[in-house]
Amino acid sequence: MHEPHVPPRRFAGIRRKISLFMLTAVLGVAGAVALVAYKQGAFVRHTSIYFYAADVFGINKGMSVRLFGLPVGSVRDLAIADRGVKVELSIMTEYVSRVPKSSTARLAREGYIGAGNIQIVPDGDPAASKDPVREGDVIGFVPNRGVAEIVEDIKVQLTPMVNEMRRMFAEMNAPGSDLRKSLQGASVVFQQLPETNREMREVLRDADRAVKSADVAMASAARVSGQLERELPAVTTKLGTALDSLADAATEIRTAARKNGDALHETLRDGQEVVGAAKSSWLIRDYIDAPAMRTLPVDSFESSRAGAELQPVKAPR
Amino acid sequence: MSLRVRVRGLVCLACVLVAACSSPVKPRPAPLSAALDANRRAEALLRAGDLEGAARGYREALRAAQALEDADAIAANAVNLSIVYQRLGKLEDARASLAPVLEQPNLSFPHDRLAQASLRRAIVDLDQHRLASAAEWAGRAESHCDGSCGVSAAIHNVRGQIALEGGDAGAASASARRALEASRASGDRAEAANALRLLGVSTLRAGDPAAALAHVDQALAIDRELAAPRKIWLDLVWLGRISALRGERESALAYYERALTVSEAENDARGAAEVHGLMRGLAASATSR
Repeated sequence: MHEPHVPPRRFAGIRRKISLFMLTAVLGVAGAVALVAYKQGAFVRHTSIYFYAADVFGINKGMSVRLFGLPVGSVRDLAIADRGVKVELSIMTEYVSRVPKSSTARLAREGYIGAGNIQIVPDGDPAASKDPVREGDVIGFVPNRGVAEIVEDIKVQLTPMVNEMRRMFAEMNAPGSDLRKSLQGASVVFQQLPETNREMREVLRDADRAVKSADVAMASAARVSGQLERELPAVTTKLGTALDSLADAATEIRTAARKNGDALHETLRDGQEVVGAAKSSWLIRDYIDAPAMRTLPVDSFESSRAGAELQPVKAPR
Repeated sequence: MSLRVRVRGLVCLACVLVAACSSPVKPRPAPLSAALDANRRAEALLRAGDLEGAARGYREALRAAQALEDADAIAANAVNLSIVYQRLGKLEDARASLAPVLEQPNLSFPHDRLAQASLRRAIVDLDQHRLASAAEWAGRAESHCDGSCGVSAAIHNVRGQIALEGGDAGAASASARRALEASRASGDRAEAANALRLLGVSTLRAGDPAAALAHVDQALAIDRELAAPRKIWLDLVWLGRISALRGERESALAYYERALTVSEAENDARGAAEVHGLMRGLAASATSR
């Protein structure tokens, strides 16, 4: 006879507990997924714009799209189309107002070996459209220069330099070149350096002797100067007296000259008056021309450069 | 009373009488004095070859004379100013400077001055090849001159030049002869030389280079006596041209070289350039032959 199964007492309410645990687990997973989705921008509104590229080497789905260096979206899709490859960019709608229709996209890298990204470059032309892009708009794409083009460019710039260097080396190697002559000259100068050095030392020794002689002369001069210093006050006093006398004499001469000058001026004025009166007397005035305007002679050939101007004169027959 | 005292008394009496005969000195008004000073200064500058300075001086003198309404001084300075402007090559200014005389109905100018101003106008017009206007002003000068005045010989010479410019060598020659007579009558040697030169050129045009050479040679002799470098240059140039037309190339070249020396000594670049042109023409004609 079987006894009915009686669940153990320790599992009482286990169903409810398991259900609660499962619910918590599901909610946790859902929350984690939602958090990841939020972090990935799943809850941000996006606007799709497009550009066409001849090829999409270096462009991948999910690649970051940047505006002024800020990430504003990503590459959503790549599809082959009639005009090449159609690239869909998903731009966060809040940044769309900063992207005018005249903007262009180009593939860039962070540094020389960094990750690639798509840069949106607004057109700097003030006359270009400033309207923001809308859903489905197509912007331009500026392809990067290829390595071959860059190498070609460098080659073009380096070729003249290399040619010039070749020419320089050729000239330097030539037997009669200026460089060779200069080097030979320098070699001769270096060979002569010891001799020059020896002569220079002799010159310095002579200069030393000259300075010693100058010292002796200066000592003599100092003795003379001391003597002068002692005698100069007396001489200066005498000279001052003489100069004072000269100044007095000059003052007297100036006073006398002023007096004489005034007298001379008065005499001249009187003389002018006397001459004027004499000129107006009947004896003299008839013989003096009254001052009148002088007229230049009117010359009939004044114009006659014209007379000699090169007018044709026929030879007489 | 001694003789010495008497003599002194007589001398004093003579002095008193002489002083009594003198009239009070009339001082010149200041503006007229300024005009006279400017006139003299301008003349000195002209002699020194400073044409711009001379023009400035005569302008100043003219303004001062106009301030006093002194008709004679106005006319004198206007005529002088027109001469200086013409020598500067400023022919419009030369014409305009005569306006205070020729276009001033409110002042009464002496006939001689009007004749001078009208003649100057004719000369300026002639310089610009305005022959009709030049003839008209020469006619006005003649009417102011009323037969004989200081510029009658010059008027005939200007008429002769107008005729020559118009291609009438006969009329030019007749005017030159009249000018020669008038200048000899008045003793105006400068105009006599001008008349002889004009006679030479008109004779050349008439086809007698030998007579032309003789006339211009006489003109040269007078101009050298008068020490007039510009006229000497003109005579030498004409002598060169006449010699060239006579086929005497060496002689022509010699005259041109003398003319060149004169123009260079006078710092006359324009004259030197003209002579160089003539010399080049002479060389070219010799080469073409």
